[in-house]
Amino acid sequence: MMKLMLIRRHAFRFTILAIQLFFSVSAHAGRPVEIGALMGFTGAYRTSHIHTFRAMKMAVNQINAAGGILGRKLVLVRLDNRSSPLGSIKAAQSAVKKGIIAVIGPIRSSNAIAAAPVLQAARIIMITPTSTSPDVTKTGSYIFRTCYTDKAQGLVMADFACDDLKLKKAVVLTNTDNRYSIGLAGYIIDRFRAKGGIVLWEGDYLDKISDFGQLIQKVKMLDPDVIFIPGYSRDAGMIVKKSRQMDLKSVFIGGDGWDELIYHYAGNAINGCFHTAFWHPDLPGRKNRDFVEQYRKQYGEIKRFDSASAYDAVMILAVAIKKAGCLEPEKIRQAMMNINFTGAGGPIRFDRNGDPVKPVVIIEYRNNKSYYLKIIQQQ
Amino acid sequence: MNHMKFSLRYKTGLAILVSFLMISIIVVRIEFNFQAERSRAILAKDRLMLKTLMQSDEDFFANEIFENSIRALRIRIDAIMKTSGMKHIGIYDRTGRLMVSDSGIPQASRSSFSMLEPEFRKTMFQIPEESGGGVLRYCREIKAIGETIGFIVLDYSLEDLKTEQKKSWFLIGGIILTIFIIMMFVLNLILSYMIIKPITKLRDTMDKIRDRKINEPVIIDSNDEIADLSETFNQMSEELLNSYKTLEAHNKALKESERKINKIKLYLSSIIDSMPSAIIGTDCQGTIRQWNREAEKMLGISSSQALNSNIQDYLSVTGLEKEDIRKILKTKQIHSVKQTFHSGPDQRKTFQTTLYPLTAPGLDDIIIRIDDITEQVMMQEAVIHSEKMESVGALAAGMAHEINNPLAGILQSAQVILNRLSLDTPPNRQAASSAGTDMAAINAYMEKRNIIMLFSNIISAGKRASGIVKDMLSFIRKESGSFVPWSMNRLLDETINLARADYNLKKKYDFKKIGIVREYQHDLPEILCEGSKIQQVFFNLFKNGAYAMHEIQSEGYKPEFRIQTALRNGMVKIEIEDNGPGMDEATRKRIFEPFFTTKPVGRGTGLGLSVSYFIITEIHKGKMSVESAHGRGARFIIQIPVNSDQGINNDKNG
Repeated sequence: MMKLMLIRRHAFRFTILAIQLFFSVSAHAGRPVEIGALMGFTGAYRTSHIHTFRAMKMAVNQINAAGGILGRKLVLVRLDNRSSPLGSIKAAQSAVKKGIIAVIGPIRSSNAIAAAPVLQAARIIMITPTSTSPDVTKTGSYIFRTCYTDKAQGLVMADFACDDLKLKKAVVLTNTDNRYSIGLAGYIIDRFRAKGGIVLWEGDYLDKISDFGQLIQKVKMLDPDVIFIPGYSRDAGMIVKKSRQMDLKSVFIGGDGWDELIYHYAGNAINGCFHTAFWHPDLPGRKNRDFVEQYRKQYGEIKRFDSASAYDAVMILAVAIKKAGCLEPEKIRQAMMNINFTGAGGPIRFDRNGDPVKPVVIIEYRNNKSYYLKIIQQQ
Repeated sequence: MNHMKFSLRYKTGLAILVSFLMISIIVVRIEFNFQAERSRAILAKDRLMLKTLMQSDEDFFANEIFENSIRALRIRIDAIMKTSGMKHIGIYDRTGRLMVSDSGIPQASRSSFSMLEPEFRKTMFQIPEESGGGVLRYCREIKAIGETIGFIVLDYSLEDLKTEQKKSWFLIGGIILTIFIIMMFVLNLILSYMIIKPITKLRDTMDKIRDRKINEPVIIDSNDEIADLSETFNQMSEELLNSYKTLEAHNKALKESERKINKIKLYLSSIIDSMPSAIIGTDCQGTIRQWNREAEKMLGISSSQALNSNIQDYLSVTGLEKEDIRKILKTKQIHSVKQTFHSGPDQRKTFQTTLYPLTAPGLDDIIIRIDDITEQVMMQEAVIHSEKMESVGALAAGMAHEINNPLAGILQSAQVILNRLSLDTPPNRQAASSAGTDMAAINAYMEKRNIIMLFSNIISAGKRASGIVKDMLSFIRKESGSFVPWSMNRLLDETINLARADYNLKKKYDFKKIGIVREYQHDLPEILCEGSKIQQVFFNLFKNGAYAMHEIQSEGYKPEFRIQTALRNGMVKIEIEDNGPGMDEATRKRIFEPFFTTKPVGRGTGLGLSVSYFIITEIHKGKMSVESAHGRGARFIIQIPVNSDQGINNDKNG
């Protein structure tokens, strides 16, 4: 495994060099190439998505520093989806209007599912770094992602709870405002039951609420071993914090929606909980190390574990455009399909749906810090 | 007071009630406005609340509807439903299909999903009528990215509002009731003390004065109009009392005169009623105003029936004609109409109707007087008849007397002549021989010349004339030498036997075959009479009857005498009735005249009945009359006073 990482790191370096060489030749000739960053610049997700955007921005800066794409400067256009699916449609529509050739985002599956049809129809490449719902890429041929799907993730989560932690009784709390959450919950439940676990209750809550007292009261009465929260840092963090306050001792396991920002909501209550992620800064690999180093230099500690995925998405797009040699959407798409890229988050190859095969990282919070516990490779 | 009486207290109560009602109406009206204002404010508040509620979550709703995130919507609905007063929430997608509501997620089956009515597919507030105003409905169209995402319908209960209103109405009701009670008590008390009591006092005194119990002044201790009223009243009552006294005196006088008038009235009406004449008074129009008792009796119409009807309706009864009335009205002259009515088969009635106008000035009335003059007329007739009979009788008697002497001479001479011619007596023989002949020769001559026969004729004719004369002489002979008591029944029976034995009656009229019905009263007193003469009368009647009945030859006819005797008003009444052909009125009137006969010439002398009449009326001071109508037989009625000293008296019909 260490070997693989080493190779990856080399590849990463090489790629950057190559790009820098390429762009330096025809630096900034002609109009800049505009790509969209579709995410919640305003609204509820603003505080978390900005981290993701930073990673993308960093990638763009690196590409431009290396000479841009096709001799043209790469510009990252902010497409604000106001943290909502409808906003995502609007943002996608504005991307179409602006003549943007490719869009990175949206960050959440619901938003991605909303935006994808618009972009697909306009033949704009969409690469989501984080939307794990299997439905996202099913929309069409122009839709890609740089992360695993919930099917794989749910499997890992259930397996981890059953096999590693030996927990049998579960409660699943779903953030019903998000397709991701609903979908992932389904996969977890299916797998957990298949493994012989018992799902005591499937609870629902809304994305933007703050008072989880009643919900937890109910959970507490059921006294589960494990509580799956396939939600996000804000809601999950609050639930965990409240649960500990209410003396609920169960283990919480989350999905890729969790990140280190959870400390902001849960405080030290989160210590002792687990979640699956795309990536962790501490992962081995040269490319990863360079990325983390660069990021830390520019923005400080990495709080979100989709940063590498977002960074890689920009990089893959740049490679594909370079490969296509022009800005024709179809050509870029074909280049995307045939790409063989290794980024900060490891190697990426797209299958027919535009989904890559990626490992699932298990993170543990401990001592007010996140640690990657395990990497589970997929077949 | 003939209709309902409303006391002052009642009216006061009514006035209080009316003013209370007006106050109530004003209060209610004001409250109504306040209420409406308050309701509007509450409604506006509720609207704002609902609007704010939706606005704050509109984005979430939009996204969740867009994402068809039923579970999320469910939670959201549950949260909203916790808002007090929220009754119902329905969330619909853009096609108006119900996605989720507070009553659960609709079944997925396509047939049963419920659709939002198009009228609600917009943002608006409404108070649906079917809720009875108890629900405020807020429909909100959720819009995003320039299109309609879906619809939310909230039903918010207005029960609070209603409760508020109800409370308010209760409060107002309470206030009104309090006002009412206070008004009833206070106003009643005030009015009672200030007005009703003094007035009642006044009235009670008035009642007493009205009943003339006492004359006491009313004392009202107040300083208002009622005190003035009582003052005035006291004066008035004094004056009234004086007036009463004067009035009473007048009244007494009036009553006295009324009594007098009534007496006069009674007197007058009894004069009118007691009059033997029917008095009918009509006004100038002919309306009957007076109809006295005699008129009722005479005309058989009661006064109650006749009064106020028109005299024209009774013209036929009174025997008047329109012309009579018209004439009297025009001429104002007394007008008399004599009229004879046949009011029964055997009763002849004669009325005299006199019309005369009332002469008093200003009275246009007509009086009709009807007198029953039947008796008078009959009396007159009887007098005329008897005078006639008497003069005829005197004439006949005078004539008979004058004729009787020569006739006696004639008869005597004829007899002497016959004796001297036919008898073979010595004087005759002497005379014959002296004359140169003998009796035989004379006889032979006489036989040859039929002289004896002629002489016999002279003698028989003379005798006949002598008989007639003798009959006629009986008119003047009124001797009462042989008056002995006779039973009329016996006399009748003897006469019947005599008649049966009579050759002529037997041979000519088959007297024995005539039926005799006797209806005698057996305890009749005997009558002092000339038996043979009475017998002669009866015989005459039987003979005449037999003759009359003999004339009827029809098959099955049974001749019959019906003989009745009876005592009536001191007279013995004998009725002899046959069932022969009877006689007409002309005959009837003349039947007792001498020489009046219906028989063929030579068969009757016409003296039989006149002699009979004479025997009864002159010799026995009785009455004789006949009743008959053509074809209905004849009934002879003989009445003889039991005590002959009575003579002819004035008794009715007997």
